[in-house]
Amino acid sequence: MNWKNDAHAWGLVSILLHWAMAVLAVGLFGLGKYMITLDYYHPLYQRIPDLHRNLGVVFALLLVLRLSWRWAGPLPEIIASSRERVLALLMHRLFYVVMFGVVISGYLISTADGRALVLAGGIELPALVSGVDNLEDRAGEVHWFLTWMLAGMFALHAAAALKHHFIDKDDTLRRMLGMKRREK
Amino acid sequence: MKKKLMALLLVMLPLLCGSLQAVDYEIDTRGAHAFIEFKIKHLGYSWLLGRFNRFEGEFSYDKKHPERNHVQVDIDIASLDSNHAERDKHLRSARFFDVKAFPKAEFMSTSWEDLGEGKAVLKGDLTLRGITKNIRIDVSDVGHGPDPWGGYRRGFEGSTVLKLSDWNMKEAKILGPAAEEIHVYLSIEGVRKK
Repeated sequence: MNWKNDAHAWGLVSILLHWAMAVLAVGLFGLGKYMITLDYYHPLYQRIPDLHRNLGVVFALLLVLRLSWRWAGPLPEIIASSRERVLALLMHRLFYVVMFGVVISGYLISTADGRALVLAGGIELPALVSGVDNLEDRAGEVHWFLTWMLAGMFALHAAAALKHHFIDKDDTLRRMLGMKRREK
Repeated sequence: MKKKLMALLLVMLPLLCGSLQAVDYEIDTRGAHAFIEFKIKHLGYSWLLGRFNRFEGEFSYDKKHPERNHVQVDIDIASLDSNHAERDKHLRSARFFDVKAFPKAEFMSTSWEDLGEGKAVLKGDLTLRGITKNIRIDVSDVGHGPDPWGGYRRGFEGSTVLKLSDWNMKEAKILGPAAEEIHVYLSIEGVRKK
């Protein structure tokens, strides 16, 4: 398998980024839902949100890397009819938009008061936008909405992958798993 | 006819004077010469301070008949500011103030008891989270007089202690036993209405 994508197959970088971000997205969603239920005196009351923020920043970095990689190299062609192809392209682009929205709104919740976002190891992400009335609430609503939207898209995306694999019996899922193409 | 009118005026004179003595003031929130601040214990180890940045109100002050004094204030609960965005978001949530369901708090005075030497006890109905309770605020005169810009101002300070459980903040108990009470400090300056 190559590092880079070609016209038929995903390269290793794309595959690793795809699955790492899928796992992170599920983990972040779970952590996010869990952390807001924690009691103030729960020993993890501070740790889980910290973990969520740190992993969120990792997710954001991977997202930037992934988009750059996508733009830098070729993309394997979408195995589908032309109508499905438009749908798939729209969905993939929407994924990027929503993922950026999630990341940015999450960052705004934590930095709305003008304080830097402090990550593990003392790394600080400066607050770029602050002084907006109730920014943390608005960003919170956007974050909530977009993460649920992402969860819905995630389900559709997985269903589409399974449809390609079991109904169309094509290589869409196999090539994202780095498997060999099916004999034809 | 003229006599009747004169008599009527004579009868009304004390009434007119009475109403003239009560002076209406608008609380100077536009110039931010009024503050609603609170403090609550964090874990029992320190005081956490915060305030409500947006509110408006008015009061009427009657020197001769202080029992006629009247105060009315509307507070925008979403303007809660404890200098930490994530905490503010948490406090505005349904766990505490539930700003979505109850965006405003209202205070409407019910009595003013003058204690002399510039002290008074102000009682009034505070509606918070949809629950109305009569609270007691200890008030002190701070000062009054003309301002340099052609207006006339009068200021008070006040303090009260409220119990979070009285306003059905069920989740407030997660803050622990040291944080059951919230101390409120008010600094209010009114500008005489024209």
